[in-house]
Amino acid sequence: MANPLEITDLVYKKNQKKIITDLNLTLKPGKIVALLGENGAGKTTLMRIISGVAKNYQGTVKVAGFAKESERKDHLSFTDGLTGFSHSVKVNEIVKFYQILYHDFSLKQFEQLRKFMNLDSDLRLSEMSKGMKEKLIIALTFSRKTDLYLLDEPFSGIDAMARKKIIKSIILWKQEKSTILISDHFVNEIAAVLDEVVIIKNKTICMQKSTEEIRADNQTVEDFYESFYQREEEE
Amino acid sequence: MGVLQPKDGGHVEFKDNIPIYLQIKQYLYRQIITGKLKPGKKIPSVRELAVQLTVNVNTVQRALQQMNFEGILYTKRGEGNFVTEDTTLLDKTKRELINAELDKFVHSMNSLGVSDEQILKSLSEYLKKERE
Amino acid sequence: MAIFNRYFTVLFRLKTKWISLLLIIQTVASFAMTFFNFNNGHVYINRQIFSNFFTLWLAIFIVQALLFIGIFYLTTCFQNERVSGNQTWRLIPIDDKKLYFDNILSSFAALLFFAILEIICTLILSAVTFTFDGQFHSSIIEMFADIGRHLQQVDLEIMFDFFGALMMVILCAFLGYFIISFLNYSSRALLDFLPQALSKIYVRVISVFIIILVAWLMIKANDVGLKIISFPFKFMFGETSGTNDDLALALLLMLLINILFWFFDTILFSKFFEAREGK
Repeated sequence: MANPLEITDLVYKKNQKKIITDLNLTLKPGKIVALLGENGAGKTTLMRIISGVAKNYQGTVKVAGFAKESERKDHLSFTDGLTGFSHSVKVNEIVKFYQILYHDFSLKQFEQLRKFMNLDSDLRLSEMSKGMKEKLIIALTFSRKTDLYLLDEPFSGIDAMARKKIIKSIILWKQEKSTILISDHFVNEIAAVLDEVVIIKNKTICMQKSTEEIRADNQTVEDFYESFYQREEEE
Repeated sequence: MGVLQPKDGGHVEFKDNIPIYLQIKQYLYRQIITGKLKPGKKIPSVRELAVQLTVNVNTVQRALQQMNFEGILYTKRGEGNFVTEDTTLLDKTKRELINAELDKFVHSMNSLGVSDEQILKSLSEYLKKERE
Repeated sequence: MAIFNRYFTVLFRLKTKWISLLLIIQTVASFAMTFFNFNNGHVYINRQIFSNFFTLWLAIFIVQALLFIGIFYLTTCFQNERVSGNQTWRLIPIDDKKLYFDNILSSFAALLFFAILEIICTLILSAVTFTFDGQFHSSIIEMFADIGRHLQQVDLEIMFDFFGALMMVILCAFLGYFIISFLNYSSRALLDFLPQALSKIYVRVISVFIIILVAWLMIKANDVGLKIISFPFKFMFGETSGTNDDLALALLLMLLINILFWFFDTILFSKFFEAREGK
């Protein structure tokens, strides 16, 4: 089986400024991985490149062995902000959209997730709080059956209860072989569910390490992560 | 040990600077010794445990594998993991757990400059007072 | 191919969402205009022709139909660009080339659907007028007889001219979509490519240049286009004396320009044009 994600020598520029440079990253099947970095470190950009919505980069990106953009999109599920829908649209209309356009979308799975998240299917987007919307996005993302799940800052700006629900749903609905990449600038709240952390700094990936290895060195994952950014402040 | 602080509803907080699979093992030992998981009975599935403890499935798997290897758990194919009925092994585990706790206690007492004799004395005094 | 069809269906639904609302607005607006004008006894209404309420309504409705088709065309243009730049739509596992074609095609299909609905509405209103207005009744019969007489003279050349004119209108609609996409994509791609400071100035210069180019093309096309667009009406009224030798050439030219823009748009869209961040 091909690795869910393989990136080699990735370079991405915008307005002649390098956003990502010489980035290499491989994720193995069945892992939950955090993509950590400061705001503006390029986490979202990296996820958009993997998903094939950011263009004109150099290097190769393979998702489950596929390099072509449309095939990559087919083998990954990305938390989209649902900006393609008007505010008056209801949950079940969004679900219909997903059902028609994603052949791997499972309505049964969505219904389970929706009930787990306590979401009403007659609710409109405009009536939702930030936490509810994020829960809906997670439910939609996990209702697809893919090799790679990209969760872009799913915990930013939501309350503790919603966060717990989302973390539990990650554990409950993750398939054995699929890999989940979660970006965040804060690791504490999810450290216990992670297999690995990937730290992005200075436009590239500076560290990839197993969380249990970090703990075996008597270090917390958070301290480990912060040490990379403290070093920079000292320099 | 003191690593696990069971809160209401059986919720467990793990320390983030000790490998979690070790903490899961400790948690399960305690569950078994205190009789919450009975000898010969099935323990929750890997996923159930992962959700209950809010940890990674792979980590739970690793803990259970080791416990299988140690013999405190055994696997029935297609059914899941069961607690051993081997009482000598259970007793041994309990003793180990007690020893480990005592070890830590004595160590911290010694580091406070309390001698072994003093430990014994103050412990019996303490217990007498507590039991009244 | 399956995803192409499914994507088309969803896009078509998106673009035809407001059709019923537009038609209701048009019907109500034309009725209200007729009502106030007809009863106020305005002098500028030709009482000779518009002796009946329905006849006036029909006339206003037809004029408004052209206006509303224009409005609807603009909404499809807007929707095209909104879909192209949106992350939700761009994450769907479909090849970008197909996505772009789906987008344009569904807009055109929606436009066609709207035009057909307009024609049906006009026919219904005509039928009503036909029964209530004796004068209209007789002039329609006369017109059909007239058309029948002209139809006997129809030869291959006239048929070619007629369908050619129709073809030209269709190609113009497509060209509109392609040009708007081209302006959007090329400016966006340049904006992302050039250094921050330079890109702003550059894009302004380029967009002015493109606008001038388009305006020049439109003026050039106008001479031919006007002739062609007016042709079906001339044909209706039996003024088919003017030859349209230029039509074949104009059609070919138009088709070529369309294909060229389609090609450029597809490349820009699949290689350079990014969806905006959807957070």
